Amino acid sequence: MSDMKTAHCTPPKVVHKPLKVVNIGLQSFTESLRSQGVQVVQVNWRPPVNRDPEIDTLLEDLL
Amino acid sequence: MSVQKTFVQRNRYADSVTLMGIADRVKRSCGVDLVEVQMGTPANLEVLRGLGFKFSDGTGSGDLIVAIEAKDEAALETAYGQVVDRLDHKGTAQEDGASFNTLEEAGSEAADCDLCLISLPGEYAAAEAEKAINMGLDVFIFSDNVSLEEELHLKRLGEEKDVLVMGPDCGVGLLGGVALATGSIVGSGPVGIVAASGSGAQEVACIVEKAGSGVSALIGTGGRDLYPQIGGISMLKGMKRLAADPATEVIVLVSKLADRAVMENVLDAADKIEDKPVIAVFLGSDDELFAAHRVIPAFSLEAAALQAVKAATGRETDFGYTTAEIDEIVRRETAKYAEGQKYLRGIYCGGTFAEESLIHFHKSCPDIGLFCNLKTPYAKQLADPRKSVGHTLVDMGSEDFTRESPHPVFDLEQRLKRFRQEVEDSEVAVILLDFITGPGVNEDPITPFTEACAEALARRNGALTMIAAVCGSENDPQDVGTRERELREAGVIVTASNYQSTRLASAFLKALS
Repeated sequence: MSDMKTAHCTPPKVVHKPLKVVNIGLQSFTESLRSQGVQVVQVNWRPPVNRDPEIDTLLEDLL
Repeated sequence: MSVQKTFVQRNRYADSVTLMGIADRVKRSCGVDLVEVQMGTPANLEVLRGLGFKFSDGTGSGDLIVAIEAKDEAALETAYGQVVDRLDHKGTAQEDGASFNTLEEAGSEAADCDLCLISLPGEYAAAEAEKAINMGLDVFIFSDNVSLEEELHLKRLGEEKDVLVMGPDCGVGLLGGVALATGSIVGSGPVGIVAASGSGAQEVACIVEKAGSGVSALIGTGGRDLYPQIGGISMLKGMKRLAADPATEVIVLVSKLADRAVMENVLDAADKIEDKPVIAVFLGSDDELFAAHRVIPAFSLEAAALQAVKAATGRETDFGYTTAEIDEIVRRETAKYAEGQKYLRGIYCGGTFAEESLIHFHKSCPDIGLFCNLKTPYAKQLADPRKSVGHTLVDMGSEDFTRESPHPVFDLEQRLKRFRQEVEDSEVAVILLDFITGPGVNEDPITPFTEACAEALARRNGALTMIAAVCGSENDPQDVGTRERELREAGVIVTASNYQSTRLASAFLKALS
C-alpha cells in the first residue's frame, strides 16, 4: 500500500518540469534550446579517428 | 573568369547543418559565386569534384573542406577568412551552459540533466544513446540510419531503466514547454500528444493552438515504433506518462498506418485510460480498426486536433474551407490557365504531410494516376525522383534527397531548385507547398519561397496556382503571421492546414482531369 502511494505521488518524469538537456550533435539544437531559456550541456562530439588496420597490426606486434 | 580554390582543414569536425549555415552566411555577405563547407566524406568529395574542385591525396572524412569560387583571388581569400572566423567562433559562447568533448567527460553535469538530445550520424547515435539511458536520462534520438535491432535494444534498455526513448528518427518534441529538435513552441494547454510521426504531431499541436487551446506535452516515438519488431514500446510508455500527468486532460495518438496487431495493442492500452479521452489518428486506417475500442477515431491530422480541442473544452471549431469556397477558388484560378496547363506538383518537406495528401488524393480521385518518389500504395513510383511526371508529389525530406544535403527544413536550396524546375514546366497548373517553422529549423524557411512564388507568378502572367500551408506556432521565431501575409501578398493561397491544402488541391485535380 505504501509503495502504491509513493508511486502515485511521484511526479511524471519530463513532462512539465523545467528541462535541463545534454545535447550531442547539431550545434543549432543547442542554440535553439538556449534561445528558449533551457540550460544545456553541450557535448562537442566528433567521429572516431579511422585507424589504419596495418598500423594496428604493427602496434600489436610491437606491444 | 572566376577562380576556384579548395582549403582543407585536417582533423576538424563540425555538423552538416552548422557548416551549411556558415556557407550560406559567407556566400551572402561576400557575394562570391559559390561557397561549400563540408566534411570530406566520399559523397561530398564526389559532388565537389563534379563542380571542378581538386583535392590533395589523403583528403578524407575526418577533414573539413572549404571550396570557394569567386571573381578573383582577393574575394576568394576574404570569403575564406570569413569561413575560418565563423568556424572558430561557432559554439564558443558557453556562458549559458557547460561544454564537454564526450558524454563520459560531462559526467555528473550530464547525469544532472533530464534529457539527452542526440543528432549524430546514425552509425554513432545508438552507442551514445545507450550511455545516456544507463545514466538514467530520457533520450531523444533525432538521428536516422539506426538499425531496427539497435532501436529494439535501446527501447528494451529504456524499459529496464524506466526512461523514455524518443526515436531514432524522432523529429519533434515539446516537453516542459520547450520545443525540441525541429518542433514548434506551441502554447501550453490540456492536450497531450504521443506520435510516431514528426510533422504529423507538429501539425496536430499547431492546429490545437490555432483552435484556441494548447499542448501539455508532445512525445515523439520515432517512425518505426509501431513496427512489429518494436511493438510500440515508446508509444505505450509515452501514453502512460501522459495518463499520469495532471496537466494532460486529453491524449492524442498520431501515426501513419502501422502494423495491425501493434495498433490494436496500442488501442487496447488506450481503452484502459478511464479518466481521459483518447483520440487516435492512424493515417490511412479505416473505421473497422476502431470498432472494438473506446478510443475516438480521427482520419486526418486536422480532425484529430479539433476532436482533442472539443474533448478538452467542449468547443466545436469552425475550421477551413466550405465546399462553396473551394468551388469559387477553383473556378477563379482555372479560368486563367493557358491551353495545356493541366498538372499538379506537390513539393513537400514534411513526410507525414506528403502521406496525408497522397491518401486523400488516392481516395478522392482514384483514377488520376498520381506519381510520387516514395514507394507507397497510394501512387506510382517515379522512375527518377528528380523529374516529375504528370501529377506528382515529392517528399523532399526523404532519403532520395537528404543523402546529398541536409533535410529541407534546414537547407532550402534543393527544394527551391525543384520549385523553379516545376515553374519552368509549361504543363504545370498547381504547385502545392508545405512549410515548417520552429526554433530548431531554418531561421527563415518561407521568405525565399515567397520571393520565388512572386517571380513565378510574374513569369507565368498570373496563370499559376500556388497553395501553401504553414505548420508553425505564433511563438516560433519566424513570425508565422507576417510570413503568411507576405505569401498571400505574393499571390499564394495560404490554407489553415495541410488537410485544407489537400482538399483544395483535390478539387483542382478533379477540375483538371
